[in-house]
Amino acid sequence: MNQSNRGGGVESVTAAHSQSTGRYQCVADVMTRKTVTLSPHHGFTEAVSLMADRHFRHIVVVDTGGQILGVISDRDILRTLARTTNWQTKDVSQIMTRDPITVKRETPLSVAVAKIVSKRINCLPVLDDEGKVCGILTSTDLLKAYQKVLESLESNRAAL
Amino acid sequence: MDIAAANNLSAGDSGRPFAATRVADIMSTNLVTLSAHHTFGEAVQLMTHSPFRHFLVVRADGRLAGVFSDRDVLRALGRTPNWQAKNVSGVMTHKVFTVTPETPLSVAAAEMLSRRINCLPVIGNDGKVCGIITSTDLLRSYQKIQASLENNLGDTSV
Repeated sequence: MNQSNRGGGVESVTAAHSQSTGRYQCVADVMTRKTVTLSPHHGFTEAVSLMADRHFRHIVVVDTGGQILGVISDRDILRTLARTTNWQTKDVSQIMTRDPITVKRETPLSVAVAKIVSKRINCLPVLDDEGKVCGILTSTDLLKAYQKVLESLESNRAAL
Repeated sequence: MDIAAANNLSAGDSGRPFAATRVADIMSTNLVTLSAHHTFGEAVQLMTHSPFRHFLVVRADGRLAGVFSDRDVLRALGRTPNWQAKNVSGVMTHKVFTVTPETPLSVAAAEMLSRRINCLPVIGNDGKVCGIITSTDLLRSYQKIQASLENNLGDTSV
């Protein structure tokens, strides 16, 4: 297990540098910088205990060079528990979603939201220019951003 | 009507497109519902043949009994050896937070985030279920307004 934290010291760090919510423009403005990663050879039980202990639902699977291999969601884990009796013997590479859809830091937020909605997924790993994982954008990050936009929309209206 | 008035205001001088602000603006009213006495197998069957991940369990009088989600199903399959014998009420979430059509979307979003849930049943003035709002409904709405915000980069009034 490896936790990279390039953004700050708090769990589930979202970039808060845009004071005005109207300035949320690209993925880097709202993504979670602290990602939890596993290697493909980690055991299924390690993924389960990671997710059971913490408040996140997605784990990124990377190789030793930091290149992305796949994503595991809580639904993947629940599905494996429901369908297989020998889940103790499985490893991460057997249950992950391979070659997940990814975005870059500078991808416009509207494009990222469209991907999440149209592909019926809840997370997009964020890759830097070298193809390494530098964050994760989840539907929760996007809901938080939308909530801020809504709040300022509503207070603008109240002032009118 | 308050909602219509608010939408007119939102268009304003900038000609910004329709911006949803209340649950009624984006909730789904075309509901697939279950009864508490449906068997677990029937509910799973319905779920696998439907694009939805959340089903409202409604009583005969139209009032809400609970919510049945895909995560409830997966959890029950993993944990319960005798799941075939269960009915919907044995698996669903009973204590459910609800909203009304007039609830501001910011409140709906905040409740979903703080409770870590993805759907809120919508209850009308008569106390009966009249819709459902999911995190996907909210994200679709966000997609529209975010696209218009990106097209008006110079305008930071919102």
